[in-house]
Amino acid sequence: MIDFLVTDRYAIHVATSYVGTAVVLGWLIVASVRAGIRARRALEVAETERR
Amino acid sequence: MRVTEPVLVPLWVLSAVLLGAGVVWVLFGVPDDYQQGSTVKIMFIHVPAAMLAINTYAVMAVASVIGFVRRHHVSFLIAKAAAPVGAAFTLVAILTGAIWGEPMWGTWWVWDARLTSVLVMFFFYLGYMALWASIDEPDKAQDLSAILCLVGVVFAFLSRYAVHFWATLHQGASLSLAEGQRVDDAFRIPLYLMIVAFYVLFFALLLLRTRTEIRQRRLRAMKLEMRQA
Repeated sequence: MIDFLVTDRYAIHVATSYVGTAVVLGWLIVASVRAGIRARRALEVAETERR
Repeated sequence: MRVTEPVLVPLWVLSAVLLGAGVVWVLFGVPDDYQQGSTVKIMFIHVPAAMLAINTYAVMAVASVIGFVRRHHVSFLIAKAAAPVGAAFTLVAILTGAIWGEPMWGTWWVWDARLTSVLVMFFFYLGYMALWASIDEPDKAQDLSAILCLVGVVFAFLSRYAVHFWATLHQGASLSLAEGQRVDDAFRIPLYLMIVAFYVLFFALLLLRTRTEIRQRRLRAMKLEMRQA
């Protein structure tokens, strides 16, 4: 892999594509999971208060 | 909610396994193309991302129509939950397309029919999310956002079919049931794997985000009830 990154003419294009995709999808996944946890906790708190 | 609960974790695990296996296969096992060299490896994320960019918009449009016709709140929430997912896949498709285009076409961007319609569709995704966020009243927000979504369907349609209507720099579909197999197995099989992996990730994200939207709607209703009591 390191050899590929050093010697291949288009290595920077391939690496940028994969890293960029990982950043965008990683951000989406983390944001979605965090929002899900926040919503679940907020609903649990509200249900407890209502009781 | 009870039905989707047991499905969620297996979906995440499956998407991680498929994506991991797919990326390792593509980066270490797929040969370079005789014309494109190693840039062919970009295809394995560009194609699934572009497919999902368009198909997520179709999901939003269908959910919006069902929401309108049946006045079904969860349908609107599915559309709302899908929008950031579709926008992210569209962004990935645009970015990887530009990075792939520079060495192969000699330019990052051209204003041809397909690229332009995908860019406009991306703006519709952003506009849809902005509209939902800018209106406090959920009933009003869901109706107006659904109308905007349905207006944008034409660009989702053009994103898919522009290459058939006009002469574009962007090539036509490489994977086509109608036109037979035009991609060698060395590229086609890992491409199918990556497409499946992206779709599983999409369903995991859609399910998670829809559950979040339903919880937020319940929370809002509960707070209103408590205020009135």
